[in-house]
Amino acid sequence: MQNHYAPPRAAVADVSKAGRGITDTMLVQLRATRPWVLLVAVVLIIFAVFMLLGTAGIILAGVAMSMGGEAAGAPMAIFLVIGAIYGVGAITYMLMGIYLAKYSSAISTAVMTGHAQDMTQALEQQRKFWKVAGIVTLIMLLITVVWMGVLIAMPEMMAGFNQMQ
Amino acid sequence: MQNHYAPPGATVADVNRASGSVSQDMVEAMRGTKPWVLLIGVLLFVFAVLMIIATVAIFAGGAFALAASGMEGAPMMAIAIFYGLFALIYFFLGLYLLKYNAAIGRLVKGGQASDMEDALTAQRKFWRLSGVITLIFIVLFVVGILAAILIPLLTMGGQF
Repeated sequence: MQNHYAPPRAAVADVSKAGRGITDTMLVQLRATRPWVLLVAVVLIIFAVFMLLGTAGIILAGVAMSMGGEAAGAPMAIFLVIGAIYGVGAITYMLMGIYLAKYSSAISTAVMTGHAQDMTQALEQQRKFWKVAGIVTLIMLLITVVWMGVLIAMPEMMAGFNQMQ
Repeated sequence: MQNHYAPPGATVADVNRASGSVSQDMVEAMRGTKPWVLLIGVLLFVFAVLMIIATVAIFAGGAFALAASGMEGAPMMAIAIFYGLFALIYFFLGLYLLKYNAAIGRLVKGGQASDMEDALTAQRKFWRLSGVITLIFIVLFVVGILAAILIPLLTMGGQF
């Protein structure tokens, strides 16, 4: 039975989705972020696949050369080291790409449902991405500093080595 | 004086700028994001400053070479423009990340929805710029590959 004394209701579209700490502006911003995040994620995953192929190629070349007797000892080790660096790079790109793809997917869910839980899930995925990106940046910084130190110290070490001979 | 004939009004928080608070879980997720965003934002700024210094140095070298020997300075000027563009890109990426970091800082302190909106806006701008740059690089990459294939073919065709 219809209640004639019920208060009037406003059919405001954004009230139904947003709520419990989520505003319509947040959902609009997330919706606009999604395609760019997805694009970068896909590019990162493609890079990772290419780097994995490169890793396999470098390691196979090293093994083939060592079996042919052309490269033994140090050259084989160089191939393995380069292959390992490529492999680590590939895993890093893949992880970052996966987290971004998950972020993009979580944004879709959050925009569709408007639930605080889904929004939290999306923010959690982007936190994981930034964490990996930050750790990789710190490692790269450390390697750069060590490499610069080696480049500065190398001439003096070589000069000392030559004097000893 | 109150208008008794006015239509009923709904106090819908999310139609205007948000005034409520966000959940603690969301704030925690953002708190965990903050230090990494700050680190990368600061590094992008440092890169931008270094590239601006390099741009000025290369530009000065190019101008000097241009004045001394004519067209030989032109490539250096082109490189300087390229460096300048990259400095601008790094600067804006860093700026958006630092704005993101600042908004997260306010959100963590106050837990207000408006700060979450600011944070997500800054984040959207960062990802939009990153995406546009990625698209430009993809186009340049494809054009480069096509040029590497077509230019030798056309050159060989011209010899016949």
